Amino acid sequence: MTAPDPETIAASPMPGVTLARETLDALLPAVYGELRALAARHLRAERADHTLQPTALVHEAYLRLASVPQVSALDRGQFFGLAAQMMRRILVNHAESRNAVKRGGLATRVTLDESVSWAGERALDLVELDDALTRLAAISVRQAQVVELRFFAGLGIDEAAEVLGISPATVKREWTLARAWLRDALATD
Amino acid sequence: MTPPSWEEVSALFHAALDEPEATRADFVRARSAHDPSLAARVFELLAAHDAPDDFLETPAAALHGDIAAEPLPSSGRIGPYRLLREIGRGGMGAVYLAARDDGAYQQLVALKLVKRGMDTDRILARFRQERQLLAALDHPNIARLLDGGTTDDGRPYVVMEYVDGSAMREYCETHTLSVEQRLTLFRTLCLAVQHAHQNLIVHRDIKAANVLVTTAGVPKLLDFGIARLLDASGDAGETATDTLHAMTPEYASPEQLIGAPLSTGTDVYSLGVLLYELLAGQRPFATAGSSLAEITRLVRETDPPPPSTVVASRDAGLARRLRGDLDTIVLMAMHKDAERRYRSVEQLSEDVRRHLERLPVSAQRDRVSYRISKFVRRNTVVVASASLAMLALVGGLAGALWQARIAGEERARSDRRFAEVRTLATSFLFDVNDAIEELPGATPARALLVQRALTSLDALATDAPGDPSLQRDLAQAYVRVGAVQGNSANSNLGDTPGALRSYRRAVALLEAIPVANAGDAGVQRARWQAYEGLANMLNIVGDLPAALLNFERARDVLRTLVAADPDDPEHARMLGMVYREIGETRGADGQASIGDVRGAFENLRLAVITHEALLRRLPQDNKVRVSLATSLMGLGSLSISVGDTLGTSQLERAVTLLEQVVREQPQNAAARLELLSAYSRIRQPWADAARFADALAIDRKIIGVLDVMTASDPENTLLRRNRSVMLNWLGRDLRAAGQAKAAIPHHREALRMAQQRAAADARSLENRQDVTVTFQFLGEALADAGASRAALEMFERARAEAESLRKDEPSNPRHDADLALINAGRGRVLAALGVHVAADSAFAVAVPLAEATATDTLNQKAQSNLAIVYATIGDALRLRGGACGTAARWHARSVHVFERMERRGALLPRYKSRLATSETALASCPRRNDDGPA
Repeated sequence: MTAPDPETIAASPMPGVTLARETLDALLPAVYGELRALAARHLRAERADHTLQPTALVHEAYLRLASVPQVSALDRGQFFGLAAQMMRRILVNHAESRNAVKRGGLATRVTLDESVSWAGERALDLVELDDALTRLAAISVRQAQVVELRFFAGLGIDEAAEVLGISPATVKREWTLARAWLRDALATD
Repeated sequence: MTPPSWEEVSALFHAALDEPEATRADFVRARSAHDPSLAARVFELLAAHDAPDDFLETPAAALHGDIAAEPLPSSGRIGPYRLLREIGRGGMGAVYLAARDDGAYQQLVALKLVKRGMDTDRILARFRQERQLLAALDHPNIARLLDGGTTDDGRPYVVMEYVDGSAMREYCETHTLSVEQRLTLFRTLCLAVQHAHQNLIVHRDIKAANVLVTTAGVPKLLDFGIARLLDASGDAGETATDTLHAMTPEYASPEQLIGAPLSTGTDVYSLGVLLYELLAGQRPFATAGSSLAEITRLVRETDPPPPSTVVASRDAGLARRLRGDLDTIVLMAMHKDAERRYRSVEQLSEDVRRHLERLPVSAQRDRVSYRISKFVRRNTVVVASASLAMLALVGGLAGALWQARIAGEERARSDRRFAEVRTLATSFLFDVNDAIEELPGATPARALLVQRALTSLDALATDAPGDPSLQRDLAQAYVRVGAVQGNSANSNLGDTPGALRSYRRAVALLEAIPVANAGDAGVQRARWQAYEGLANMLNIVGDLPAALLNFERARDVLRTLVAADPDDPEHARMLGMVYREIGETRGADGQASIGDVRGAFENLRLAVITHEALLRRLPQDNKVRVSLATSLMGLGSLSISVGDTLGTSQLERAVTLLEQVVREQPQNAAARLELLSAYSRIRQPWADAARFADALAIDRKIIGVLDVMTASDPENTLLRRNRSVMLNWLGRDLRAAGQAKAAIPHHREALRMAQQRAAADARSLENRQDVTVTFQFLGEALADAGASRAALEMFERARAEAESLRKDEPSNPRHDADLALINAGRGRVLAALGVHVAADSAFAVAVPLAEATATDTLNQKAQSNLAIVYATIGDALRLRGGACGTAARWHARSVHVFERMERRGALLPRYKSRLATSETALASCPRRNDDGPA
């Protein structure tokens, strides 16, 4: 990774992802739009019909956007870092708007059930999680990043390690602790 | 007080996780003595970490959140329609259930509306086109177009007939339609597609979700959203490139995936995929987690396994039904080369009809004659250029024909090979073997069968390099062979080395399959089965790290399969089973394990969770009940071994489930075995609670059932091992109940059986360990009965066995624990025989071993062993008389350890009398100090 020059800003808290402001401006709508469209198409359309797994989403977005010059200037790691934040925003925004709609009648928050309740007793509230994750970032930026990459972008340990430029073993440790912290935070909320 | 720093919390948390679970709490307390708030915080995090679910492990996007759902328009109305609720969502818009209040009656309709933000010119144009195409179609099996219009904000909508029904596959499954009924339903759908084709419309997105079946059983084809008009040449004017967003990759034809020109052949292909899914219950390619590029490669370069082969493992009857015609029909519809599919939907439908009426079908596998004609056709250029001279022409033709003949022979040979393997593998290994697998007494018959199959397979394997599907079939056959030879999950021949060879062979064959074909679901299935079988064998021969590695490989393959098709209960069930096997290999009570109790709990919980979820979906399924029961037994026994009383209720649940199964299926030998195992596990807490009458009753019950089963299947080593294990338990319970003399013959019988097994399979560590502990039990019973000399001989032999086991498997703490008790027993009888020097040196061996295994103060079993070793020494020294002081010291140590357990509530009732004995001994000696051992 080259050293940042004065013309560049840190586009995101991800280490290594430093981009010129205009690059970023050009990039965000495209990345956001593409991910949102992919998410919509793959995840919403038919429950019973899993066309593509979500983990493949970010990979596919990268392939689709590879022809965009600003994107092709990024390496996969940088792209994944960005995409992870975008995915978080997409998913949380969506959950929020659903909550807003539902709160009118039933004062319950939307839950992404099924997979989570399959394993645990408590379905996950993405908005709560997002709040907790922001608080976690205040304690440890890297742990919050690991969660973003693993949970929101669906990356594996090795991929997350590649993005953050740290060892997979470290990612694993950070992940273990961050998970415990978040679960505890959500349980005591 | 200032809160602890995150660095401190984080460091202690990770350090604690590196500690064994049992000592973790003490560890944290020791390290945070200076700061109680640090301890509290770390305990909170550890508790959160230990919660038994997979919090955050599934990526957010996979949680089925309806990401793109939009609220209804605020007015709740569009034109004259009142929107009721969203019922679906396509590539470019949402579909709502709506009602038209039209004077007297209310008509329900489906209203499809372009999504906000998606209303670009291109999409609007497409939307208008769908409306036009639909208007041209009028067929009872196509959802009718009723109306259309534009909303106030300029978004177009179409109004269609509302089909109140379920997606086709779901319909077939919830109504458990027979193969014939599914085929008939499929033919009705073909009529709709035919109608579209006659109107020059290619649907291009036929899939199960786009076909709804009404409650009256009428299929209706929906969503002409990416349909196209064919132009005069018969091609759909537009290529697929710009519809990538809208098609469904798993149903898309190879030409569609690469953006080549499309024809009606594309719909034939998708119908083939749909028929595949309806018959096999899964789609032809495992594409979960794949990128579009990977799917494209998979669909273009690999052959789907015939539907019959993918159902073979879960439903042999269905496999037979599909084999032949239906396999052929499906694969012909799905041919990669559009030219070689059915020419029309009508032809496909006609072949299905011929099959239903038992007439010969037109579809045939790639025939040799076809291949030759194709070869000659391809070579016409060569032939033509040679025609410059007559001679050359003749020569050229001859050459071409000669080559064609070679190609033909090549093909014919491989066809023959295929036929041979298929005949063998299917009729012997699959049909016959599966049919008799669960029959009591069938083991020798299966052995004969397998022997004959193996001879031929070995010959074929050397003769068939490089053909992936043949390799796969061979590997599957080897997996079966391995199972009959030695997979302890089934009745088997106990031929461990033979089974190891077979599974290794299967793994080698599968790993040699080129990456391009590795995604093949059949390959994946064979792969996990081979890994799992190999792991089981490695477990038996005691190579635990290798076993674990292979279990984890099996787990990874199964996870992929489950992700590919979460609706397939069989893979989920197997995944749960592999979790259990991993858990038991990591750490289990009473069997060889690598001693990772934490990892064991983690995996056993996953196993239970997986099977619980499955049982919720299939509450009546006996296979699932048995699987859940088995997982509960693993978890329950482990819980009990660390003193967690929750284990008893887990075991009781397992017993309930299994008794249900055995009641419903009295012939199910596997379930009966599991039930016996559950009985034998639940007897443990009873024995622990000193409920000896109950324990003895259940011991005798189990042995009685085993006798019956063994009588009808005397070659079955699993049954025989279980019988000897139970005889030992009966003996131990008798001894604990004070009837040592009565115990002796049972241990002798168990010993005879264990030795027989060890002689038959000397590599099995399990067999050797059985012999070791049986010597020890027999020694203890003899010692209790006062036969010290005979007891000494038994302890000596136990010691020799245990020492050689420890040499062969130094990592297993179990052998040290055994040696400690064996040496304590030796010392005890030596002392009784008056050989005090020898007794002292036996004790000198026992004490450090017992202490070393008991460093974990929460390990209840190791602690009680230690206390027993101390007490045994105390007893022995007391017998010498005049040594009250030394004896008292050992009794004091024993009391100290027992009391420490009692304070924790971990002292089992059956040890209470032992504690009392030591206390009495201690009381009779003058007290020297109040402390435990220095």
